[in-house]
Amino acid sequence: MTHSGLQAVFLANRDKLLRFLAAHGAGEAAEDLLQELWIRLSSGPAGPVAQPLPYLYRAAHNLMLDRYRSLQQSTKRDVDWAAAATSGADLSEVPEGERPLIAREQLRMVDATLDALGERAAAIFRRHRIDGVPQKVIAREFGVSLSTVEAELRKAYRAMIELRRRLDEV
Amino acid sequence: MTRTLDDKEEEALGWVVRLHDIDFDRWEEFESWLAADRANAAAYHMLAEVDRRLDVMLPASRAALGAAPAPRPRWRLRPVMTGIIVAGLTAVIVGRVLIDRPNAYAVRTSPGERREIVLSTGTTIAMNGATIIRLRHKDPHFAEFVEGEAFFSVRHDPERPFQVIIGEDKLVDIGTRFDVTRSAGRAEIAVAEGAVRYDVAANRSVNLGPGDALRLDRKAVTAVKLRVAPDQVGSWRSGRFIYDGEPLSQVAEDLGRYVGAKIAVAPEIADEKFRGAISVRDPHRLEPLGPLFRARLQRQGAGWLISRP
Repeated sequence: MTHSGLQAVFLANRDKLLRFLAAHGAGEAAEDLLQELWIRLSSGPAGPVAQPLPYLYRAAHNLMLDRYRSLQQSTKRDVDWAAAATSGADLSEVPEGERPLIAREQLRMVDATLDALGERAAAIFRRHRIDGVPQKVIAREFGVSLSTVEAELRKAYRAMIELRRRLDEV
Repeated sequence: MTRTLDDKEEEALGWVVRLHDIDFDRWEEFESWLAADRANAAAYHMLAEVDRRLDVMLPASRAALGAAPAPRPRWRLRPVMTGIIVAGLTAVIVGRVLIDRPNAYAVRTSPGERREIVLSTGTTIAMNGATIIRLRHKDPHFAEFVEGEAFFSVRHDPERPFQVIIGEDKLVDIGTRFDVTRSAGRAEIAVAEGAVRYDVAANRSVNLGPGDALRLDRKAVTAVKLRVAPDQVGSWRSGRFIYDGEPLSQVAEDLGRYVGAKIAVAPEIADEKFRGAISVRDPHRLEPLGPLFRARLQRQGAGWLISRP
């Protein structure tokens, strides 16, 4: 599927994509967002796309998450809770001596949280979320069903999200 | 106290997990769920955003906290399997194993020795004392940094960027002169010119430009980005050492690597911060440096000791 082919699929599925954006809560902005999606697709890399419709859905989904994020950031201070761990983010607000402590403490908590879930859930989460391996492949690697992989991932995500919230509340 | 996820959020979490999969294809079903209730989209976006923010720390968590290693890629197993199949033909096995291995060789300097290597691409590596770097005969775009310190002047080739492997991490040049220091549990990268990209365990990247330094501490599991004076990066090559609040133990380690002798620091001042520039004129006469540290620098066995009377 070539680049212009992708645009053809976009046009053929215009209504579907518009409905998808609306379901995300785009409201009156849905048409504008669809236009933005079109521009993104036109300016993106023109590599071949094997499955155009899932690709377009994914792009629309990411667009909505970006929108949610920018709406959030404009209303609430974005606490970059683990910036000191790895990032090139600006660290200047935290006194130098405290940065490593924050990162170290939080990383220790993440690891402890994962380990408390049991070996399999922790290993599946790391394999999926950190190594980026598809769930089907993980199911094969661990010799379990796809629904077991999903259940273990839910368990791990639930714990990570709760940890994240706890840290945000501090 | 943290509240746990409610039912709506549990449903949303299921979608977060499923959508994470690259093979996800239930888009219309997802849309129906979103459209069924306005609260669904709100719960989903909120969780997806929390999830995104986990990214910052997870790779470091794996790299540094000793998570179980990933299964090895399949191709690495192949030479072994071939070996089993042709077990009767010893010569063939040896031949294969040798061919399959990347033809790496190590370049070492003794403590106090300095050496410059010029690769066939024109890239030069100035090695400080007590340094080990592994190179490949057939690939002049690659170096594995084992330990010590070296200053890289890379002849940039956009088609084939120069890469330095540092433990589980990777440094990719974007046209550059930069310095790498690595010792037990600690690594520092400082850029004099151009830019490099530092890949933390292949999951997260940090771009470094002139005057940027990245300090990684494996034990403390931290990576901290710092600013340094770009023209002072790699100044050890001319016997100059510049510090802005480093512990004396670190200063002693750097000097020791340069002069080729172990320099011990009395424990009570080992963590004291040092700021200033040091010029080493004669590696066999370090006594004059003592006053810089408000201490005495004297011979101790084959090495030196910094202590405060």
